Amino acid sequence: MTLSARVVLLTFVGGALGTALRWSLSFAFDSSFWAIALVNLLGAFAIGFFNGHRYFHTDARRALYSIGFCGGFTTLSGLMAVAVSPASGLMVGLEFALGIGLYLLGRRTGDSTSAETASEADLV
Amino acid sequence: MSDFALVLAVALAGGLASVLRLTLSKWHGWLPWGILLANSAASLGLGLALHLAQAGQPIVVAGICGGLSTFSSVVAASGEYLRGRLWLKAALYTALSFAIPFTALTLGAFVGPLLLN
Repeated sequence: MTLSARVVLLTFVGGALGTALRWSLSFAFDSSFWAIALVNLLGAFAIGFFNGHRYFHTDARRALYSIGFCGGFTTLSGLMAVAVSPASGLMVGLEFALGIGLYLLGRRTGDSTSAETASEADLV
Repeated sequence: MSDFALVLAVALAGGLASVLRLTLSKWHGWLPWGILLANSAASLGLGLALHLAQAGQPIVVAGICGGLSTFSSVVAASGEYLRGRLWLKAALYTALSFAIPFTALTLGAFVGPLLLN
């Protein structure tokens, strides 16, 4: 991907929206551990879907949805901050494993949705 | 600062940090080193920021550190390595994405109070 002005601007917009949404959601939770788990696991599925679905395969849409929105919505620094004990460290390890699983699931979902869209379009 | 202004400031910080992450992501060799650097820098920053004054904290913690770091990009790369049966890369990238940022955060949390004194 080339760093065009359009790509930079869309990454900025997606990142700002994702960050604002993550921060707003954090107030709905008593525990930052579960708030971060929710955004990270949702973001993992979402980026899987975007990487799978061909609609999102242009530079501009990747910048807005995958790099900007999912990147800004999910957080690794926040995740590191909740790994304060060996037990929570283990939970963080599980979150990585679950996140990879959800990514793969999202990617399959995006792929099949994409194929369906293609066949529908062919019928028209 | 009003609530709305604070949300706006956090969002702007997150947007700018995301652009910095995009720029760093261009450093992509055998592993996505640029993303690992972004995650490590954000974690170091968060460790340091844990001791900052309360007022600026959401902008630094949720905005800059949260926007600069990414979980989605780590699991996306690891997931793609798994799909390509690149087991070593998947395991190593995931492990490094935990170990190095965690060490950076611990270091920041330790050094932070020393800098203020």
